[in-house]
Amino acid sequence: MLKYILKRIVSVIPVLLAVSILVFLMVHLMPGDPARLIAGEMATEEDVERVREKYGYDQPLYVQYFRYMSNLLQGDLGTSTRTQRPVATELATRFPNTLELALVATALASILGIAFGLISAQLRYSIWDNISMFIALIGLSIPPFYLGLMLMLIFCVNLGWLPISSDVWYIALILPVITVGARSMAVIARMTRSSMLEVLNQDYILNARAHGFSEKKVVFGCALKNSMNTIVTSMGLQFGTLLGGAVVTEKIFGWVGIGDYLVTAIKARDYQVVQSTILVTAVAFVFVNLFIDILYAFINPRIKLS
Amino acid sequence: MEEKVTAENLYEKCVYTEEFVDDEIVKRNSVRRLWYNFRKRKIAVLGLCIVAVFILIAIFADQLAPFDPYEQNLSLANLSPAQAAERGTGNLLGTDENGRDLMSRLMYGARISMWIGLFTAAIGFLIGAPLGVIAGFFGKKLEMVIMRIMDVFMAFPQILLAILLTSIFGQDLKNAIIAVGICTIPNFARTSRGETLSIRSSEYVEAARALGARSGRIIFSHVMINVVSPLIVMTTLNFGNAIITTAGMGFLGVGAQPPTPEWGAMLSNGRQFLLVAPHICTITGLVIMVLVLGLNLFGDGLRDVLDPRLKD
Repeated sequence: MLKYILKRIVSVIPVLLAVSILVFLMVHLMPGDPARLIAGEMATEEDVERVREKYGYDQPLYVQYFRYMSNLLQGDLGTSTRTQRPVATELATRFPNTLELALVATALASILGIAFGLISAQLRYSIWDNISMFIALIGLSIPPFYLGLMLMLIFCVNLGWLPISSDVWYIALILPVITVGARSMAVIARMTRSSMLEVLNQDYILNARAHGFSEKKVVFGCALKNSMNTIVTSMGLQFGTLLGGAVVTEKIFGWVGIGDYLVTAIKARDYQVVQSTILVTAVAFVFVNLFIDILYAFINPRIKLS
Repeated sequence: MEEKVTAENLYEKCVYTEEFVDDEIVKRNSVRRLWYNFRKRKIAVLGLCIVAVFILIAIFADQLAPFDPYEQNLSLANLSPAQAAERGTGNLLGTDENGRDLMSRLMYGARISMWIGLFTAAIGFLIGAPLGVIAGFFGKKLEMVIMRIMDVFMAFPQILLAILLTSIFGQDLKNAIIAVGICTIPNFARTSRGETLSIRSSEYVEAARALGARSGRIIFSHVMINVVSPLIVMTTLNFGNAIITTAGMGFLGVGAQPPTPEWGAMLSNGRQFLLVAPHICTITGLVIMVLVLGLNLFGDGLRDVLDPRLKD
């Protein structure tokens, strides 16, 4: 087991390196002259030249990359050219917010998703199956920006049940979590249903039933346990996606998270912020996937043999 | 479950139990059988109908739209459908913040969304599928290089990568579509590689090889044909996803720019008038949802018919 885990961890290193190079190159391909942007529209050509030298933009690309990476490994993510604040400080305040949203949303989506999936697999072709799968289908089809706006319109404006912004953390979380989690819930529910149905068709389930196991034991003890691989994978994927993909939801609810920071930075061509934020998100995403792979090996020991 | 032989499917059953049949008959009947199986799924047919309606609207937007989608009339701004009916302006779904007819804009938006879905699917399909097939078929170093590159692309949440690519290409609708298309390549490559791997080791490929067929022939006449059906299913389900992602980018202001009647951008503008004119957001979002719902229903049905292994 340890050998498998180590092997998986080592295999992540080249991916991380490639990701960092890719992000670096992509940000450098963005149109516009960063030095001109920092110096300002009115700056003279000399000033721009000075800025270029100061920030190292006159160096060859690989020198800039190595300098960026060595700073990065020392915890320096660069400075925002727009606000002059270090990116690391900004991310340190914003990342926990995004993490909170993603964690709560994934947890809720998993509980509901697995419940809906179980109900519909267990009561196949019944009205409950249809209702659960219809809810999942709606969750899959509704664009997050629309869901967010409608929830706001209904619960904050028309019914007045919830404030648009709140200092109480759990109240502030309600609508963003629903908005961001609806899709994940749908994906997990559909995944649970199909993998449960697949497992329930296996011979060992028939065997368990023939031995007179109670239905509860068959479903939770045998079937769910064996479907867990697939379900955990989709849970992890959803969590990873939410870490970086909640951009739209963060924008709607004014959530001070990473996505909102990134979109603002892209519009303002704040290269340092874009580069570091995307890199941090991608690294988090890669690590979440690594964690799932390892978890997977614990749930399903067969996997490490192949 | 054994299907009952009825008068309707007797012929098909006979044809399929024959060992030697005319190719033409098989081809004609496999389409017929697909349609027969698909038709049984009422909900999937509903999906197909929804999609068909949107396609027709997209094609005939010029003829169907009652107004010019770009024509502004500030004296008629933010009219709800009820207000518009009261004033007899003829705007069935009301007007937007610049007094443009919402229905006409939605119709032209349907055209844009269809292009989004088609182009992103085409990019994913035409680049991703060959890469996946090549990787799966030839294996070794080539496979490693291709799949590692795909892994790197998959290390980004899709919408982030799309936003980043769009900001490189320039923030407009065309570039947003290309960016979203590029983001779907890894998915197509992965699926087609997986399929190719299982086909490569199948007996009929071995038989073809034993008969002296070259790699190119095997890829085109055995592998591709069998890889296509899961990919078609993926394309349909991806279609809706691409529409949501691109509209999300329009909503954030990094995709389509006003005054393009793109649904996401329309929602983003309407959002500023959410309290005064909630109908702009409500109706626009509902239209996106119905189309995506239709696509998902259709895709699910198609999956059940084309790829029975994935079923339930």
